[in-house]
Amino acid sequence: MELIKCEKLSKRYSKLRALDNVDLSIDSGKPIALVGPNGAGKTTLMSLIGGFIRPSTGSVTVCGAPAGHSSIKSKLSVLPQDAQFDPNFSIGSQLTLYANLRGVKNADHEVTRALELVQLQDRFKSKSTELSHGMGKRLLIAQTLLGNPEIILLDEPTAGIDPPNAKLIRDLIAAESSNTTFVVSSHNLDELEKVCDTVIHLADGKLVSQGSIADEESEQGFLTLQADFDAGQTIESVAGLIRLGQNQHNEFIIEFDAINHPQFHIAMLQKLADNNIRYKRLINGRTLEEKMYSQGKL
Amino acid sequence: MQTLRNTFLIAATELTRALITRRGLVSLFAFGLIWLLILTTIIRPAPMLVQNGASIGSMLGSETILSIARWQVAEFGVHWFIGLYVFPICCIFYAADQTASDKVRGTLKLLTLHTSRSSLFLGRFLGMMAVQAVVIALTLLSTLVVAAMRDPTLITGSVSNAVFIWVNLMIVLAPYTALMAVISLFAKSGMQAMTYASILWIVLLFGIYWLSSRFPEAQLLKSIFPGSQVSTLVKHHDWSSLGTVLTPAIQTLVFLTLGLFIMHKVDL
Repeated sequence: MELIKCEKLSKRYSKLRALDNVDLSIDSGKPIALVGPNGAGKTTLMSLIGGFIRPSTGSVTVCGAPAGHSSIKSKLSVLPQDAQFDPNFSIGSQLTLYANLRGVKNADHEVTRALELVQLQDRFKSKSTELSHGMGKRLLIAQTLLGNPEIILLDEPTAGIDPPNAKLIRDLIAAESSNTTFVVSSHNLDELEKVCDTVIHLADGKLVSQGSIADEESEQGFLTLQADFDAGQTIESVAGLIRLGQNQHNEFIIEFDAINHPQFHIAMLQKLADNNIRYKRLINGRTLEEKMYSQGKL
Repeated sequence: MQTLRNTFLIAATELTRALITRRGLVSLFAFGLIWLLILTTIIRPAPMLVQNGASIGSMLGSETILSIARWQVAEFGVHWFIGLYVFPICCIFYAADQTASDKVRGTLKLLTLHTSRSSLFLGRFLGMMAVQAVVIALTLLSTLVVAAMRDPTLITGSVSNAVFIWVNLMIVLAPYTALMAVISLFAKSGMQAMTYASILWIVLLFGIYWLSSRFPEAQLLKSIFPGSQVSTLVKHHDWSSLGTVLTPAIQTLVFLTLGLFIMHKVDL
């Protein structure tokens, strides 16, 4: 089912064109990654879908209604990058207000559920200013979960937070993705790769590509191997190798003939073992970062 | 229906902010101190003030003293006069931050995820009016206590005076509150909203003064200012005052319509 549709969508800030003629369609399903460098237009796109800002030209519809329309309040929620709770009220009272505004029945129960999902149930009476940065992000995610919306946009949900909090948020997205379609923007491509199946790539306000993360793996196979530097010679000797590259993370990017050598990875591991070469990590395919930035695009 | 319900929910939250949160209570406490000063130095000696009207008539204007003297309870006559001129200034101060700092903090974004912009804007306005209704009622109650302490037989007259003042002051304050709701949409803080309001007031005042010197009909433009009916209203002490309600009602309606239009267009 089509949840979001952007048609010839543009947004200008005086002379700056933050988003340029973007046509985009997002269907319900597994989490979607929104990636791109700083200034690519990710936050602008999310703000337009969330109805925080108006398009300069073009249109955005969410579940068939224009972005920001009252009828979609219960269907869409957003974690804005720069939003904060009101420091004058307790977290619980604000979440209860939000739930009531959404028309959620049994608002108190719904607030407890949302706080439990982000593991902040003991902070009901706290003020937002009493929370750490990571807790603050979790609180903002809690407000997106109120009333089980069909689609949740998370703008940089793990920016500047520690690994335990980041993991908690990732796990939450994975757990809730069966009920809700998440669109997650982040600079952390490793993280996005862990939770998302589809990626939308923006650059300079334009849509570069949109598709499955695993799309290109059918004809040529790719492996990413993190191993000692001397593993390169051994890999080159494995039958079926098309190309071998290495990135700055000491990772070998291995392209092989997947049709004629479908067992390439087993042969490679056997050779590495025969030569007493240890490896740290083997990924089936290339990392999202490798796909996006080594060859320019997905 | 949901929009109407949400409007009242937002208004109730604003009332809670004023009466329960620390920030709200500090503001009320500050106003309470100012009011205590007014109560003890001007309202309490009101009967004496009216008796010696001639001596201070030069200060307030003899016509004003005469209009105060017509009041059944002198304390309320002075309350009426002070309320008409002091409360609008307090209103500009108090209603300045209806949306400004929430916009900067991003709290408005969160709110608009859960309710419409219309209910948010109108709810904040209604909430601000509710807070002022409570505050004015409390000041009237304090004046009633002062009058009753002087002469307990004045209580009946005081209640009808208090109701009259409460209704009329709410009508006077409505356009000020609505105008500040509009200005707050452009400001980044309550202080900035007050600065914008001052600039707007002065520029418009001089503009109309200049226009009036060339075209006498331009005097009519003065009616766009909130409080333009106050100089007439101050002479009233009975319900004939409601004859002046049209101007503030139209002003409030125009400001709220303008505010709703801007609220729907503005980027958060």
